[in-house]
Amino acid sequence: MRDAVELEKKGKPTVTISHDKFERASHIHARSLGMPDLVFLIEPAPKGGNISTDVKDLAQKNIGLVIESLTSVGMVQ
Amino acid sequence: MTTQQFISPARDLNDFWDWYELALKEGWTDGLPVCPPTEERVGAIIDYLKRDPQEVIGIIDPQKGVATVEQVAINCAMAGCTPAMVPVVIASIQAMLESEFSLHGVQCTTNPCAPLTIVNGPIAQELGFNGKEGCFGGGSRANVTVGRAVRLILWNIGGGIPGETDMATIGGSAKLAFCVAENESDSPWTLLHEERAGMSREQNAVTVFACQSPDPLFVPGDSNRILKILAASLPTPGVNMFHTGGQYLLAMSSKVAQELDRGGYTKEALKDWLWQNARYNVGWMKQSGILVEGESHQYYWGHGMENAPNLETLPDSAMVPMVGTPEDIHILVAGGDSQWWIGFCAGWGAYGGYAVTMPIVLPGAD
Repeated sequence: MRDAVELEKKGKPTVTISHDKFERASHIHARSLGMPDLVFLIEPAPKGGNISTDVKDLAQKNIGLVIESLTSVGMVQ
Repeated sequence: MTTQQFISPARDLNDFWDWYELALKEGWTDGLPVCPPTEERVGAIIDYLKRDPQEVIGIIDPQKGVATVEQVAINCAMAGCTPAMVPVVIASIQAMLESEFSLHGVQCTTNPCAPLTIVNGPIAQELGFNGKEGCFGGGSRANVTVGRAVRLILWNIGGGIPGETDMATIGGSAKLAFCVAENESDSPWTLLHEERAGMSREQNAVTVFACQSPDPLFVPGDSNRILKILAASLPTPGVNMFHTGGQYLLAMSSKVAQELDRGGYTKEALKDWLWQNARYNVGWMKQSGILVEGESHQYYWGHGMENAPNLETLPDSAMVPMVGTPEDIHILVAGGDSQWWIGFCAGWGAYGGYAVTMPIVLPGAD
């Protein structure tokens, strides 16, 4: 998240992916880092016995949302 | 009392209970009662420190709160510190602001680690810090109020609030107050601040380390037996060392430390022995269910560490150290000589919370 803030300060748009369990914390951090409008993509945390996150599946599922986020303002749910 | 003007507003309250209710309502305490930070108490601290109340000590994550001398003094007064204890608190906070401690992460991690302050030097005895029987529990105003002041600063100025920014899944009671002195008089070894910072016994210092509450290990017998028990007890799969290395601390009661010393073990020799022998066995990891094919690159030993071995290519007989180097094992003599106890304080892992030693600067000395 700090990386995202630093990149945004340099004019590079970002999307920060966060688990839903950390959604509230993410917004508090964004505010405290002076960037309350930082763009988030909130993903459900893995449930049950699945402790793994398949990054490829996550990327394929959300690529459209990421592109939308990089070209708009606000949060994409 | 100080003639300096404070910025913080004053409130008129009827009694202690009005104050306590206000502190709860405003979120100035984590639930435990706190002392009213009256102008007189805060002023006495500032007078003792001889510092400008608006001097900035540091910026406290994750809220990026500005820790001025005044704000720190208010939290120390709330914790019940005497003015003479406040330089210990300030040194602790400054140590936690060093990059290797990674305070932002320590405040926000899901791990239940808490910032431990260890006090060394003559100031420990002068102010009544306890490093002997029961030192990690209550009984010493110095231990409890210094630990409490650090907690309140991280709470009020840093904004480490459970469920908001502090995402510790289960938390831990060490977060309420976590401060101890080294048992210097009974230690057979080089003291922590001598070893880590090249300081002398006559110098005062704190060492901070983010770790879990001491997990008590019973280690009766001579040095060989103590070490065998440690080698079998320390490398358990549930602690963060298994997940991501990092550092750990052993708080050795003086009885155990003296027995190991009689067995010929210096601190350095002990660290080397533990690093070589207190190891995870790859086959046992698989049997225990903690190591699963296809997941080790993400979740198991060495995650986030440079040069970590690939567990999936190692034979079942391979032994993997708990931490990267012997220097990542910290040895503290803390506790008395009443029994054969050791406290195992697992760290946060390779993400941070690493030990930092900082001199305690007394008023007028800088």
